[in-house]
Amino acid sequence: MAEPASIGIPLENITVSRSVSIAVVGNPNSGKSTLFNRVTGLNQRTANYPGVTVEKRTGKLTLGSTVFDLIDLPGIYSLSPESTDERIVVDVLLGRVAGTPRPDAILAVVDSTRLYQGLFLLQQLAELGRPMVVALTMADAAAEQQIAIDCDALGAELGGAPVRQVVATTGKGFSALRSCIAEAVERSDAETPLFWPALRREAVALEREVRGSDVSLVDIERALIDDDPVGVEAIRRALGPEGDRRIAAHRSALCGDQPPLAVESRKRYRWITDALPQLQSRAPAPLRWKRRIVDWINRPYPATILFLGLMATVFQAVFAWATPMMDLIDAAAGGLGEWVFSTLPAGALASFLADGVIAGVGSVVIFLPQILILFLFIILMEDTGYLARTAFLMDRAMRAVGLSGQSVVPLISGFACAVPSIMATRVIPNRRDRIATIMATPFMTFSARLPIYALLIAAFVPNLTVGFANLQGLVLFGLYLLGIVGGIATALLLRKSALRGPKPSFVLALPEFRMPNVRTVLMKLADRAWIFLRRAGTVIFAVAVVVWALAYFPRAEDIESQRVQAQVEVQTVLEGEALAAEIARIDNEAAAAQLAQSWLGRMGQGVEPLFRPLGWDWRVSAAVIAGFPAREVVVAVLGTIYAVGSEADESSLAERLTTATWPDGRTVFTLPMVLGLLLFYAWCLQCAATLAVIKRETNTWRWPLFAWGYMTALGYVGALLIYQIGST
Amino acid sequence: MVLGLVEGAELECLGGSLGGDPMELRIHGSALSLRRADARRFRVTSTAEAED
Repeated sequence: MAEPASIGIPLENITVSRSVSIAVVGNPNSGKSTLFNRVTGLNQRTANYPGVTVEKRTGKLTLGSTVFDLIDLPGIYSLSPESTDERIVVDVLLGRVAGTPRPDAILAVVDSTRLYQGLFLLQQLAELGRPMVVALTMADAAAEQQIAIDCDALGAELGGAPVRQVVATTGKGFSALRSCIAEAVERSDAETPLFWPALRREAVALEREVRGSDVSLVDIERALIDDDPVGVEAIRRALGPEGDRRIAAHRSALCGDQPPLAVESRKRYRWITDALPQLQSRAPAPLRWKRRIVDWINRPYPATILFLGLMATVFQAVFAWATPMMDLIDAAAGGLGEWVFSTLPAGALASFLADGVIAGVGSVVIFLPQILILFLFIILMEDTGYLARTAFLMDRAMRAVGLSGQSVVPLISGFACAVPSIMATRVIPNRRDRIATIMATPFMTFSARLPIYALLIAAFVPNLTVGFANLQGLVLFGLYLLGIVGGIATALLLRKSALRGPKPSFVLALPEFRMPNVRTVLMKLADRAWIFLRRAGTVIFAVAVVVWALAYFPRAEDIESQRVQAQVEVQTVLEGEALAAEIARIDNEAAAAQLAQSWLGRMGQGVEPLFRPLGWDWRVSAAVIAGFPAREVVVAVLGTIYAVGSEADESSLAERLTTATWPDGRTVFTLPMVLGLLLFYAWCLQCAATLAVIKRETNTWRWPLFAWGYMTALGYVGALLIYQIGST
Repeated sequence: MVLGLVEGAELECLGGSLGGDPMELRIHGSALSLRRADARRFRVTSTAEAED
């Protein structure tokens, strides 16, 4: 009898692996993400929590036969949720998020140099009664500042949780941390320390009243302290009709007539102030040269000059460094399109692939260089701790227009692309400030407006030197200024009307400067790029395809047969270059005639009466309509409509525009009309991706619809006034 | 509150932003910033006075 065939895997290597979920929770700017990246390596993925726009990052760590699923949660200072980011942390920790099981253990991340504030969150996390490992990051910075922490004493205070000091950027202390993680989940007998026993007593008392439902003690504790509707609602339901009164009764038994949040802060910080001298010792740090430089830079005037210089560099980078890459992408998309036209038989399929799909993908990818450069700067600012410093520096100026210091960076990033900037407003805790910032962001002149600006300015603004400046440059600068003024005025108006409210308090932690970690920066950059491609890219692409279809269909057979006939005729009289030019001219004329009778052309003619007071003929109207979903396409549509081909270089299109006339012979592109058109483009919101992202971030259709209607109306009225006043 | 601005906390004033508002404070070794309007709601005594 033959031996059974070996399947090649020794038995002892087959083990049943089990999986343990660990939530990584910590203070903002504590190096939590760097630590997460180092622990999980590249073994991670990004998804979304259902219903909210917070990214859910998960990663795996395998130790022995156990697989740990780590979830990286946004940075928080306490379990009282104030922003969307903070709420998701609390919800995940308490197991309230669908699709994310309640974590089995907690990896708490706290900055060694900010133990005073870190201990607040550590108390709350320890009271959850889950196995916990504490990583104290920035051990090197603490050593430099002569801060010594007694990790064993701290662990004992936190119910026996292991505490390890690490340096997330270099990886120092990580092997010890990993073995702690492996051991910690084995412990099931961990006692739960109580830092505010009265809270637990009241929670136990209230729990007796809700017996029979599935609310946990911790849920009840949070509901007693936070007036957070989500948490309170579950308990109110469990308590029945008397719910509100009961909760209020227990609250006043716990806190008297004081606000519970204030009482909690007082109680927990009292404990911290008492315990801190036993847990850490700090010698007066020697004043090193590094410290002196940082202190000097932080003074108001050097800091302002540095900030302005940095912003100028960012602008320079976004516009100058990105251009070669953008030209390359443009050329690649154009070349690929031509290749499609030359290989496939002429017809709907070739046109769909080249003008629809390839041009659509190209119009998305072309923004990547600018977005990558801009986000590289923003991530560097974030990871060096400079971002918080910027908010501090600009707060007073921004408050004058009804925003807060934290609005500065989203607004500045708006100059590259509104989509990631609107996502960047999540750092603003106050909802009114946040929405005002979101509404102001689309006014910032982002890069997609540049091609149309460049075209119109080159064609119609004389290239004169005024004083020491160039007139064309001045007009471009003025358009940027118009965008800024529009945005600021909008924010101001909103804060005085629909978003009126008390000025929120502004307490902001200012982290120390530190060197960023290259890998973390690159991973964050890849994350943002992916978000852009997925969020904005899909919308822009879909829109490009729809616009292509509107401009392509229906095809008129007689125009096509006339084109073929004209080209045959011309071959008999011309030859060489003259022939090629004539054939191209006939092609372009035919394309223009096709577009004129396409759905897009008909739409342009249909709305012409509406835009006639602005001095626009149907061609301009059609191009503007095509640009409403995504204004990138405007120049290409103008190129086709004026029969110079969609790939025409700017000078030939500009030349064609200057000679365009109304049927009665008047020039279309007069100076008032062009200025009005420029103003319209400076103010109206033409980007479906921006609307989609506003919807996601505000969680309602009201704000995107308002933004669209308001900005379009503003652009229309502005263009109308300029044209009417300028033409009389 | 959450950042530790509670009774009994020891503060060190590090200066201000442009025009002195918001101001920068150091509390138990970590810096944070506070608008003057918010700062007005706290009562602060100098440590020298408290020791007298």
